[in-house]
Amino acid sequence: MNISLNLDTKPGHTDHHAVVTGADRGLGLAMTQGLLARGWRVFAGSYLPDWPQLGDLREQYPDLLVILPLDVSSDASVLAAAAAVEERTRSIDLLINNAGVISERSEDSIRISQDYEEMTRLYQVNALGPIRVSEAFLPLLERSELRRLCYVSSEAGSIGKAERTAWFGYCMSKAALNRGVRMLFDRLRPDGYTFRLYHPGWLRTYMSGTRNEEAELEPEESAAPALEYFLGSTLPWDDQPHAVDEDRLVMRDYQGREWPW
Amino acid sequence: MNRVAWILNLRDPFGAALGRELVSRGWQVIGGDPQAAAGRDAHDGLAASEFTGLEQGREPTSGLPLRQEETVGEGSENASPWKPSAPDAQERSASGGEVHSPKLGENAYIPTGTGSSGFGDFEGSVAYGPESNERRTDGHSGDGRSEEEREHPDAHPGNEDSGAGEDFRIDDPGEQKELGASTAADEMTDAAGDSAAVLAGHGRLRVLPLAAEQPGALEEAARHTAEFAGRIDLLVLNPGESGPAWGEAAGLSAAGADTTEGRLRDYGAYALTPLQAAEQLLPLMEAEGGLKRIGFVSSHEGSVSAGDSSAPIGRAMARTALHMQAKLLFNDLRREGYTFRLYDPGLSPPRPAAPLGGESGSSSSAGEAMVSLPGMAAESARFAAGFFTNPHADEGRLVLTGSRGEEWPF
Repeated sequence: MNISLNLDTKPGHTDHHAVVTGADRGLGLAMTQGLLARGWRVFAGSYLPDWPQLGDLREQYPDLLVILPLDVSSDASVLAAAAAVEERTRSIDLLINNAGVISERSEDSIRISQDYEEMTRLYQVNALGPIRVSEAFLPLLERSELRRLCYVSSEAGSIGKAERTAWFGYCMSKAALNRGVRMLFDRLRPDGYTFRLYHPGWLRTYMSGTRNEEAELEPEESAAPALEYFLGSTLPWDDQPHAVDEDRLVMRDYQGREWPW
Repeated sequence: MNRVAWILNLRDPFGAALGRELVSRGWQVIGGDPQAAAGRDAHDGLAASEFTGLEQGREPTSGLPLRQEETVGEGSENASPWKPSAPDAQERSASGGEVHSPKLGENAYIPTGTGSSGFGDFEGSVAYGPESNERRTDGHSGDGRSEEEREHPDAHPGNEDSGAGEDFRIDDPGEQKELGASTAADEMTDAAGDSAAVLAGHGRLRVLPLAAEQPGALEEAARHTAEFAGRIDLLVLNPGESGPAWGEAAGLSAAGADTTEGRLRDYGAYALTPLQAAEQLLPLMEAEGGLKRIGFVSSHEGSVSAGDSSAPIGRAMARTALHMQAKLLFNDLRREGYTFRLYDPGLSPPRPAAPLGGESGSSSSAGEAMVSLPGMAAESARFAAGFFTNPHADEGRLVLTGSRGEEWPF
C-alpha cells in the first residue's frame, strides 16, 4: 500500500493523534485497534462504559489509548470530550466520526404508524452528531498538519441509488449527513482541511442493539480499507496509486466504489 | 370530476400562490394555516392579502362571515416574513376582485408568468384539467375548468350547483376547531372558525388552522378533510418556508438556526412534518379515479452536490432528508399508481454578486430592488400548478425540478 504521507508511526511514538467516536465495538473498535497498531495515540469516544472491549484494548496500549465518555447526540458531552482532549494534546490530526445507530422499526412502511421520536433520535446521532463533533474539535484540528475529517456514512444515504421503500429515519439521517459533510467541505476545504466520506458495507455489528449475524462483513474487513483511505493520500483500491482528489468530495465504499448522492 | 388538492402550508407565500392558482383552474383546495392555529387573527395575512381578489363582492353561501374589504392588507406586515405586496385597495375595488376566468392571467392584480415550461415532455403550466395520470391524446388542451363547469357554465364556483360549494360548505362555524393547539381560548376558536371560513363564498378553498408540529394536529386535519372533501387527489407538502429569509442574502442566517435546537426544529419542520402529513392523509388518496399525486416543495439547498454552503446547515440537511423521504415514498407508492413531483420554487433571494476587486453591497441592493417576492411566488406557482397537475412523460423518474424547468441533482 502506497501512502504518501508517512502516518504509520512506531509503537510508543505519539506524533499523531486521532479521535474516534463510537469506539466501543464494531467498526469503531476495529479502526481504533488499527490506529493503535500503527502507533497513533487515540482518543476513543465511549458510549457504553460497561462494554469490555475498549477497556481490554487500553490494557494493551496504556500509553496510546485514552477512553472518553462521549455521547455524540449531546452538546454538553461533545464539548466536555473536546475539552478533555485539549487537556492532553494541543492538536489532533484525524477525526473519525463513526458513531451511528439504526432502528429496529426501520422497515415499517408509510402504511404503518411511524415512530417520529425514534427518527429524531437517529437524526441526532447519525446526522447532527458528526457535525456537532466536527465543530467542537475544529480548534484542535486546525493546529494539525493533516486536518482530516472522516465520516462513516452509508449507501442508505444515497438518494440517487435508493431502492428502499421504508427505513425513513435511517435513510434520511444518512442523506442529511452527506449534505452536512458537503457543507463543511465547502466551508473548510479552502482552509486546508481534507475529507473522507465512507460507506463501510453491511457489517456484523451491533448498530441496532444486537449483533447482525446476517451481514456480509466482519468489522475488521471494512476497517482495514477504511483506515488506508482515511490516512492516505492515494486511493488504496487501485493497482496503480492514484492520488485522492482532495477538492472533490465523494462517498466511497469499502471496495472503493463511488456512490452517487 | 372535481379535483381536490391539499396544501400543507397555505400561509407560505408559495403555498398561498399555488392554492390560488389551483382554485383558478377549477380545483378545490384545502390547506393548513399555522398562524391561525397559533391564535393569530385570521383576518390578517393570508386571509386578507392572499385571497382578496377571489372573495370580494361575494355573499356568504355557508352562513359564515366573510372578511370585509376594509381588513384587506391590515396586519399583513406580521403575517409572513415575505409579506406579499397587496395592490392598493382602490385599484382592487375597481377590479371587482372576482375571478371568473379559469386563468389567473386574466386578473390584472395577480402576476402572471409565461405559462411555458420549456419542457419537451411536459405540458407546462397550461391548464389541462381535468387531470389524470394519463396523457391526453385528443389534442384538446382544455380550459382549466372541470367537467361540471363546462356542463354548467353559469354555475358560480360558490354555488351549490357547482358541487364545490356542497363539499366545502361549513354548516356550523362553531364546529371549526383549531387543529393542534389548545381549544381553551374562545377567541382562538373564533379565529379558527373565521379562518376556516376564508373563501366560503368562493366555495373552492378551505383553510384549516393547523399547527402541524403539534401532536394530533395532522390526524385532526385528516379527519376534517375527510368530512369536507372525502378524498384528496393532489397532496402538496410544502414544509417550512419556501425560501430563505431575505436577511440571508446579506449573509445573515436565521436566528438560532445554527444551534442544536434550531437544527432539530428544521428537521421537524422540513422532514418529519411532511412525512406525518403523508402518513395521515394517504388513506384519503385511495379513492377510485383519484389522481394519487404527491408533490414535495423543497429547495436546491438540499442538493448535496449543487446546493451552496451559505444556507443554515440544519435547514439544508433537513431539505436533503426530505428529498430522501420523497424517494422512499416514490419507491413504495408508485407501485400502487401514485405519481410524484419534487419542486424547487426558486424563491431564494439573489445572492450578492461577487465583487470584482470591489466591495459588495451595492450589487445586493440592486438585485433585491429588481425582485418582487409575490411576483416570484405567483410566477413559480403558476408553473408549479401545471407541473403538479399535468401528466409527465416519465413518471418513473423522480427529480428535483426548478421553476424554470431546470433539474437539480440530488
